[in-house]
Amino acid sequence: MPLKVLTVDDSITIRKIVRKAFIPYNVNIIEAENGVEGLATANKEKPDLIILDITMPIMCGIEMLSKLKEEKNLKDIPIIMLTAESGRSKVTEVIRMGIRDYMVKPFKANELIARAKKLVRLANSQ
Amino acid sequence: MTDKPIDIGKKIEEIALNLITMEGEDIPIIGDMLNGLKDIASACNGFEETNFKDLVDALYFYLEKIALRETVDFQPLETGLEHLQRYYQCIGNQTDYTINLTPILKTLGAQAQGPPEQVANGQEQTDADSCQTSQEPFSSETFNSPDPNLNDEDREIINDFISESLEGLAIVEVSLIDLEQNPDDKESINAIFRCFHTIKGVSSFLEFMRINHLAHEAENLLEKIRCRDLTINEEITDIILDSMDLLKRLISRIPQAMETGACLDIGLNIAPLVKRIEQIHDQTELSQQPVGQIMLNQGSITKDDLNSALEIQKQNPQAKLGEILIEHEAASSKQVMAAIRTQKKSPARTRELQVKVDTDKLDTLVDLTGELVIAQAMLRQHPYVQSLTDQRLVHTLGQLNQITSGLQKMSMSLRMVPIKSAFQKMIRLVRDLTRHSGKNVQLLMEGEDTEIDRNVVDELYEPMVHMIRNCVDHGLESCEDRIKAGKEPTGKIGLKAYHRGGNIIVEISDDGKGLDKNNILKNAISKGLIDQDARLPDNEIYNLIFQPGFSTANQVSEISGRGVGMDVVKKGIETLRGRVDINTSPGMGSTFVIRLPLTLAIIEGMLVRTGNERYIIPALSIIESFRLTPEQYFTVEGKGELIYSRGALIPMVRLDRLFNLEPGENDISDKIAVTLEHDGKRMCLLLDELLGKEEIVIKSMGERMKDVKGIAGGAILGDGKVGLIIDMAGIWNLTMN
Repeated sequence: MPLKVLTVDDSITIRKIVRKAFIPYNVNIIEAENGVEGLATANKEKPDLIILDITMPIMCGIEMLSKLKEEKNLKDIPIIMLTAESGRSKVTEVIRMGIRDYMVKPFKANELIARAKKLVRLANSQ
Repeated sequence: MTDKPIDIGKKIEEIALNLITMEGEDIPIIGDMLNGLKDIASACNGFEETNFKDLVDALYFYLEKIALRETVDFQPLETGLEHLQRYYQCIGNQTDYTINLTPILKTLGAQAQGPPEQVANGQEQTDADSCQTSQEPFSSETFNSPDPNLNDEDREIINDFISESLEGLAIVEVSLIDLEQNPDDKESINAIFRCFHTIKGVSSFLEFMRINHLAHEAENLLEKIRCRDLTINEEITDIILDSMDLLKRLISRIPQAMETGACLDIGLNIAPLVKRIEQIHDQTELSQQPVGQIMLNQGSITKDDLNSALEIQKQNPQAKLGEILIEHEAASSKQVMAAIRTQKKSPARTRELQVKVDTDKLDTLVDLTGELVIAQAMLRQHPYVQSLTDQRLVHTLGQLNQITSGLQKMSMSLRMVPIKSAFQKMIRLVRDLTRHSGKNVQLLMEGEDTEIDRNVVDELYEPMVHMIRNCVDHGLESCEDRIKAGKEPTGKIGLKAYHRGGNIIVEISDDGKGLDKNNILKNAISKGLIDQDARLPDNEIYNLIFQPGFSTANQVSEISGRGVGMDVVKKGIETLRGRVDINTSPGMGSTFVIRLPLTLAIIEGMLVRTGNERYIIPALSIIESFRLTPEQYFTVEGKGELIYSRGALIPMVRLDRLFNLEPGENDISDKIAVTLEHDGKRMCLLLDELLGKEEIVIKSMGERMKDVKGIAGGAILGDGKVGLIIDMAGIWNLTMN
């Protein structure tokens, strides 16, 4: 069964870049545009990995992260946070909230894949 | 804070263990360590040992740097933790920890204040390409841009970026208008911020570095507004607008470049704008108190220390004042850190203090002030007061007079806002109209800072939209027609506002083909608005377009044809006690002139008397007034009484008969005639006396009397009695029936 990766980002371009990065792998990509959608999708699909942006309308990534951490069956899903430089102070905040990894935009496809490989393998072995 | 006191010793051990067992970068473990340090920090808040707390803070600071991938050197952290462990043991044994912490604090802290180093992140990034964020200064005007040789996928992503960004920028425009009206609207600021943020993020992926740089600068500016370090003002709004425009231009030219395979870096100069943004940043940074001053205030250094340190800094401008002070042992690193913390905590807020007030309260204040003015006038005109001989009382009354008029001016000004907000909404409208109609239109604005009553501004919006739609749709010709007529292909629409004699005038003009008299006549006859053989003067013909059910457009267009016409405009303006006129000349264009009272609460009125009754005629409607001579008076069968004035016969109406009053003077030559204009039609009102022009505070007639025909409201006059304000549209209806 292919792995499920959920991308939560308000920019369609970023979502496409993520999608493109995973093309060579047997991965099923699902997408959401904001925290509210992201939570709903995460609940329904139980993804193996979530790639989560911080700055989004309606519900931002930090709020979604804290909601994820409250849910028993979602809190252990590994999360890669996406941040922009201006979000530096937020990086510490999300690290303390228990994300597994983070990436600063812009990132290269192979960086994303390398980080994801590490996490998804870990998640499977647990 | 946890209820149970945490075991600090155990926490420190946990952190130390984490540090030893951690291999390379491990975000979850770093997260645990950060939380541990935070717990310790809050647990030792009440400690007397402030050095201990400082060490914990410094460790947290350094760990944060590791988390942010600014350094990969774990050594200072290990050394610091060792210190912390031993220090804690000393506290437990109630012995003093005698080792000087300054060097380790400096290693942990000093680096934290230095510029972030770009250190490649060891293990982690050997398999992941080290991602190079663009840190090089943008001194020259060359920027990286994507390779023009794109594959289809890249093209698709770039196209997505373009449409996404342009959509976002359109939202910025709307939000910015909202923000200008309501500077505290967090959602608008956030929406604007997000747009620039997204453009910045995505453009860096796609390597549109010029766009990235500009978006980044604008984002920084907005971040400051979000954090309330900056208050939005006109200058900043302009900069954001300009940034938005420039980004729009940069982005919208990409498709063309993609087509032709040219360089994708659109060569528009962003440097001037970036410089303007930087200047704003400089202004805010200057307003921070210098570290030296803070330390002086905190008593951690003496004036002499500061002066000598400043002297050293002069010779070596790169050095930081704090560092110099530490080096010369004038202050401890702890004191410097404390000062820097204070500095960051209290950015000087240039925010003006404002109070939000319910407009109802404001209206009541204006109302009450109006009454005060009247009461004051009554007092002044009182016979007893006028016969006063007591100089001091007269002086006090004079003072009261001054204060009341000052108060009135102030309370009126509270409601005044620049008309700009209404004008700016038109920018978008015109742009949209241009796109839909395919005509080239340029909007020229003048007098945006003209102040107008808040309520009027809101009400003015819809009439303006209608009129501008009409200008674009019916007034301006298509490009080809314009060229044929020898005009520039781009049509011009003018928006102009200015004050004139207690009124605000708003002009909406176009340089199109002007109104077509014959077309209007034909249309009006076919719609049954006028008789086949009616002979009307030009201005009455033009005014026909304000009649309900009139529309000259041969076909209903996407823009104007929505079933509402110019009659709505006229009605809207008349409810504001204003009037609208048209000046038009064939081939040269038309101008709509809207005259409005400055505020809704006060009008300029002519106080008149007929018999024993006094009325107020809105001064806006008065064309002229004169003493009647018998030669001017005519009676025509079927048309009643007429007055001959300035080459025209004008229908005459006697005010006393109109309102069924005791007849006033009977002799025509003792009467005064006042020529009124309404809807382009004139009427002579016959009355006994003009009492003078006054600013009148309008009072509504109340529920029960609101339907009295011909009366718009009442006003309390100087002697305390009520005068009725004549409603122009109302008396026209009365006389027609």
